[in-house]
Amino acid sequence: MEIKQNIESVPSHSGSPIWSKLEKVAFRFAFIFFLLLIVPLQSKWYERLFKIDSFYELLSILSGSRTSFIEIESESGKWGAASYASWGIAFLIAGIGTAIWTIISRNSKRQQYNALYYWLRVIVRYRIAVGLIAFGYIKFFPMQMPFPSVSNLNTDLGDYATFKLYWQVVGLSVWYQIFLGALEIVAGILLFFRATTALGAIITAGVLYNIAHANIAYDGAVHVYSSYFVLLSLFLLVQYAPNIWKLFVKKESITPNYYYPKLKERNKKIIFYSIKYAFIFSFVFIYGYYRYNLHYNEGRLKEPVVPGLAKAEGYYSVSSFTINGDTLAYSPLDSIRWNDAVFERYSTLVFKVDKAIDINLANGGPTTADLFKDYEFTGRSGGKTYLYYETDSINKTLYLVNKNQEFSKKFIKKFDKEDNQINLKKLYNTTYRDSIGILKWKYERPQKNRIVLSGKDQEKNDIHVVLDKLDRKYTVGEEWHSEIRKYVY
Amino acid sequence: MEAQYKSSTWSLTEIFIFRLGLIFFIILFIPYDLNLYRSLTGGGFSFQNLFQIATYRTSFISESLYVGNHLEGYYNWLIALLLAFVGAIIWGSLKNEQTKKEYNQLYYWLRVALRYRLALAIIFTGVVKLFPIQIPEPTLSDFHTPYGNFLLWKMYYLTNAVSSALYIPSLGILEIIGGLFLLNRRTVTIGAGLLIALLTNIVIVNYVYEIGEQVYSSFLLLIALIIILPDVSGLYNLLFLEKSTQYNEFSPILSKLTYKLRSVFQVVFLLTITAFTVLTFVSWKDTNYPFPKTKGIADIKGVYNVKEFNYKGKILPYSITDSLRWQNVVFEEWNTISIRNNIPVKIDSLKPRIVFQEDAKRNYEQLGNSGRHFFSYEHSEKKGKYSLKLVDKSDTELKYTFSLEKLNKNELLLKGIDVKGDSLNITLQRLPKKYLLQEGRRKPIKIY
Repeated sequence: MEIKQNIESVPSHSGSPIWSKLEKVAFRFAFIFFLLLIVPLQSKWYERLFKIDSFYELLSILSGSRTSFIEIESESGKWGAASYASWGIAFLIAGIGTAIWTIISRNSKRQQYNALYYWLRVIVRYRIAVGLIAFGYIKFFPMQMPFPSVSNLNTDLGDYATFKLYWQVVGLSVWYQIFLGALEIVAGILLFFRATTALGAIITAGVLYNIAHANIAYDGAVHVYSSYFVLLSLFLLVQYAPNIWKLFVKKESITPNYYYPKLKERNKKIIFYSIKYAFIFSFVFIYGYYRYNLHYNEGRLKEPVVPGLAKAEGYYSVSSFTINGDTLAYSPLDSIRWNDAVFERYSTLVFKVDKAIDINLANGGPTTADLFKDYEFTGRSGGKTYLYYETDSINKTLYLVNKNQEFSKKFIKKFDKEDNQINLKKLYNTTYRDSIGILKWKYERPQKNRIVLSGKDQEKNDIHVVLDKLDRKYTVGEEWHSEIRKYVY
Repeated sequence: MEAQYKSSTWSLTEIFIFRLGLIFFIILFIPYDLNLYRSLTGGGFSFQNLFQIATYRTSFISESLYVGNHLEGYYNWLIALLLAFVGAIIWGSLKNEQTKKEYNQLYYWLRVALRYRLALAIIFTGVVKLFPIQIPEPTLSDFHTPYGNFLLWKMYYLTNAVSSALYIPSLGILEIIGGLFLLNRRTVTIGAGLLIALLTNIVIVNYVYEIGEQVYSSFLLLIALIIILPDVSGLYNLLFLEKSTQYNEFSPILSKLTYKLRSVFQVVFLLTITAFTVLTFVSWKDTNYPFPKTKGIADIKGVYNVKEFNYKGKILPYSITDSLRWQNVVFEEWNTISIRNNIPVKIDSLKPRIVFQEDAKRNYEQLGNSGRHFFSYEHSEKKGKYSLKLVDKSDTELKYTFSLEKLNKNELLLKGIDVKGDSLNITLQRLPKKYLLQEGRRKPIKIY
């Protein structure tokens, strides 16, 4: 009601004709600094680029490049201030570059960098947009933060590393996750267009600031990459800051004048807009479809997808445990006799003993083969062993492998293909049996809620275990999971 | 230099909406809320009471005191809106009001009132985040509760509480800054914008994690939106259309007395905030709020394995299914014991409110925890033997008496009678447990 726009004024898009000395120097610095942080400079990135075998890979390489000139081998280098060292190097190079540029151009009559500034902003906008869209789709098709597994629900709070708690709490609500994903995608799309750039940059700065701070606060390990988007979006907002200051703080009238290139020729227009919309279409729709396909058709997720033993999902008490003929009584302090066990909806069996175990501290990324999906146990202690299994229901046999081990890169490459299973039964008769430790256990299901397992454990002891499912109620929200087309749950 | 305000006439719709809005907010300024009055019965000038007053809401229909998505509080908005509708029509039919062309002066004062109301509420909310009062660190009992045995809101709070790098205090500081920015005409747009961002997240989180303050937080968001309303066209102009925009804000004509009173009021307001901050900090340091202040037995804090459980003269073996035998016991630093056994917990689903509570009534530790049974205890010592009086924190009718003896540094012998009159003889053994939650992920680690 109080601020009236001047109807007659037509926005002029010439940009300021004369820049101050300081503005020019600042621009030169920004130009070098941001290009250094945006243009991929690692040979590895190009190696990957030339090895791509699908359009999806091209899009994900383009949207996920992370500039790193240096990695400092120290705690601070991974988690603290020193992890921003690459920014520091870009800052130094930009500083030197600006000095040289300024010296060289000291006799130049050039009075402004409007066009160059515009195109730098375009590069920054598009870089943020594709990065955010890639971030957004793994939440929009909820993959990034799964709902806690039965085993996770039965893990004490103190046995979690904080970064896991942070991810898991988002996973408690599927709609919250989808909303956050949609927000990131929308913010990304807003940055493709000039009129909505300011709003997109404000949302990005706010949301990604929160993500970056949280990554520092929980050791989430993505703090540098998320701060990167904050930095870029703040750069975009610099253009609007003086006018916001004038209008709302100093209470003065303003006339924005931001440079936009004029496309006069028809051909130029056609080329410009076809490139622009092809780009947008690729990242919004084609990339989105690929993500959908990976998620719902291929099951390339953080959570295993192959259904486990039918109707076995649940938390089990160990009613009887016999090892080499000796029946051991239950004690929570026992390091051999199982304390409890869990069958997940999918192909994971968990048992717990009171023993120190090497904790896998990785984030837990998505893979196709269920064997390598480690999100369910990374960053968690409590003496739990996670076994991946495949079922031979005719012979009532389970083939199992301890998931918490370092598989060789070659092995992962060989088996992380289209299939979610790796055919352990076949591998059992090869040298893989010993190299990855494949176990073969008989199972019986004498009663509805009872499962009896027998076979040799990893130390070649004969074990015989009777498991009885307990009726556990959880109060931490409603379970959800993605249903993969290939399977019936 | 500032431009002069160009006065303009309002359209009839604008006038009607203004009348409606003014009455709506006047009604929702009435400090009527039975829950508020009940929670103010003790505690005098405690920071909790001040917090309750600063964050008051108008509830003709009382809001639920339990967590979950309770939307009945919106009925109060509806009531206010209906009354405002009738009021606006009556107002419009008054003779000398029919000729009114605009309400700039009144609108100005409405915004002032809303700015101060929001500032007060949000700054106080920020202060209780600045110190770990609203979101305190997890207790040892929390550490030994399975993830699935918390209510959603509690898990959200605990997850926030385990953050480092001043994550929660910085959110508190942002709320305080946003609030302070509302106090000055020149920063009000930025302040309201910041608060809209923060409050939008708070409202969403309230729904998602069923925290229970959906209505109140959305009321604050509504206020923030009304405050920024006059700037919307300017923002739209500036950020989307990128057109010239003339500054045109109404400056009220204030009498000399009003000017003086305004300064006095602003000083008082800032002093109130400062006093509240100091009081809150001192009180938190002093009384351990929201946890009990009374210390427990010296050097007893820890998690204990129930090594032996003798029930009516019979030793019960370890079991996770037995409904009699305890599985583990936590002694907190203060006078709380929590027990894990296989008896279902009647979960305490009250909202986590910042209200004055006598030591024995401090309930935050058991709220939203369905995995452990919580007891507070009084103890007296006689020659190394302690006598314990336990009270069930969720049902204060249930009382137990135990004797406790320290067998050695890490072993305790508990003897007593349970609620059914059966004798218990329990040996507890303190476990040297290391927590991944505290060890973190920065170095390779091998632990149980």
